[in-house]
Amino acid sequence: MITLVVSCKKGYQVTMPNTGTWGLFNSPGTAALPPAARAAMEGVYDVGNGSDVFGSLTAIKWSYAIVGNDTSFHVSGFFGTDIAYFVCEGRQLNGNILLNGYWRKMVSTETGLVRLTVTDANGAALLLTPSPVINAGDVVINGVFGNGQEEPQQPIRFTYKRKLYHSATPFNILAHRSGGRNSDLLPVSENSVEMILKTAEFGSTGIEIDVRFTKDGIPIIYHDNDLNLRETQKSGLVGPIENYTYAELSAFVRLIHGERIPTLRQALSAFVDQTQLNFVWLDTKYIGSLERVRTIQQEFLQRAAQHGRNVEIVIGLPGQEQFNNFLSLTNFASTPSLCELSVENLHQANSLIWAPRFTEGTQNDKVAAIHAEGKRAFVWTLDVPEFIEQYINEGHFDGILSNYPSCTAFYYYVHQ
Amino acid sequence: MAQRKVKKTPLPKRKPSFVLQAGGGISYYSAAVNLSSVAYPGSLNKWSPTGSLRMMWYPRYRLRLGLETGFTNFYRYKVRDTSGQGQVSLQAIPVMIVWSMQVLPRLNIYAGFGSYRLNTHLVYRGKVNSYDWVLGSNIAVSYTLPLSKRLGLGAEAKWMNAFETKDAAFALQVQLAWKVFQWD
Repeated sequence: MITLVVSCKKGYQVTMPNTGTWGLFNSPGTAALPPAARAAMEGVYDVGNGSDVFGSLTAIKWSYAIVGNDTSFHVSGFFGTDIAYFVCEGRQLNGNILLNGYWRKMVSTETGLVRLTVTDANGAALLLTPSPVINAGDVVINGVFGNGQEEPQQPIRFTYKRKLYHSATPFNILAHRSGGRNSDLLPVSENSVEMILKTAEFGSTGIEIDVRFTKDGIPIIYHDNDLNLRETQKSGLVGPIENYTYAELSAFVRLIHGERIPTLRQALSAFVDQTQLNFVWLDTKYIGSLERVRTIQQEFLQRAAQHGRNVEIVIGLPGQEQFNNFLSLTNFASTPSLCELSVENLHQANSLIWAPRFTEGTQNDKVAAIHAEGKRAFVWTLDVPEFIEQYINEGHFDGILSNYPSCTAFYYYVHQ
Repeated sequence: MAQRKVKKTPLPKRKPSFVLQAGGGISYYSAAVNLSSVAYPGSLNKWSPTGSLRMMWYPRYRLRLGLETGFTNFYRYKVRDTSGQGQVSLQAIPVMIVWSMQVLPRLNIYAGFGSYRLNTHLVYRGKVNSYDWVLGSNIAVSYTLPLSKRLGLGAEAKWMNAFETKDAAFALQVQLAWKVFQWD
């Protein structure tokens, strides 16, 4: 009976719709959108048609990633209902702006195609001017969405309302495991280079990644202690990941969507060279010397500076062992770190950021004291939309780590 | 309402005993596995020799209880890349509590629950042996012909299911049953 029950357990999956079926979007004569139009289009929009499915507001924002010699731009819309979002590519055709992509609800397996248009008369003419200035009602995005691979037919309509909210000090929308968990059925694997390149589409401005070591001392990005089906495809390799060299993992193991397990160098290289992200939280999942990780951290901070990128890469101190190993580093006080332990530990390590878990509450007094010292406070791991809304509206944290960065992005950008 | 008299037929008296069952045969890895991105084409082998050892307690009543272990090779394959070539095999050793019942003369069914020790044996620019314990179960049906008062020879079909890792194999075995000890 146990065998039958376990064997018949339903496996959920999300099949991403094929977005290449909109003939008009793929027709000759389409052209890329100018940067000014993309920037001006960002904002908070009222949702007209479709509000019963997605909620009454959406925060629309552009992101980019560099793959090979190409820079791919995506526009995302974040909603307040069911952690829904859409991700589209954009083009212009005959004075109109076309947006083509998919939508997804993270609370379920619901997904489908979305096709949007800003006509010449509905704001495209304004957006396509060299220096567009947009006011409420100037841009109306009309379109359709559907379920799964079906031809989209349900109407949806967004009307520009106001600019996205930005606090006086920068706010970090941090994505857990480089973008989200495998259990949320995303199209790429957690802790992969591919996820790092995609996470800005989900609203992230930074990432948390998990650092472990292989048998031959190569720092890699991987969450669990052992090789398992949650993170990898069947490979015949079992047991602790540290039993294997990087060459063995690279030859025999693929993450659940077919990617290779990245080294820390590969992950940081993608972060610095190929994304607009500005923050990396290195979650140290191993017990041992932090020297090699710090060397790589310094190398990539220098590389980012050489490229004119203003980024932060911090070593996370999640437990007492990692904390003690951090203090044993020479010049640890000048090494950027993030402390998940007490405020006293934060001071001892001279960490830049204090990161308590969300169950301890908003702790506004402690956060204010941290700010008075010129340090920052992040909270982890917030996944319940009501809590995310509460921490943004009532708390004073400088960043939120979540498996649902799109939800954090929605509540942050629509904040007034 | 008058009650009818029920005629009671006493069950044949069985003597409790311990029975050792040893089997050997062939297994086929029956779960889905896609190694196309890593395995050298055509190198995946799902067939393997298999063996099992089971000690059963036959009480006076129908349901029997026992322990089972054994060995099978779930699958093996090779890789070839610019760094060289290598191969890996995934082996399974069950450690199960087994329940059994005779459903027809000479026909027994078995259901086991416990763990599989999965062993990775990898050769690729060096050797690695690694293991993990995962939850699993098995079900089997056997037909046993008595050869003497203490010995029997049978055939068994078994499905092994390491459900925690979604590994499964089907096995056909020839089985020798030996009544090791019997008491009143």
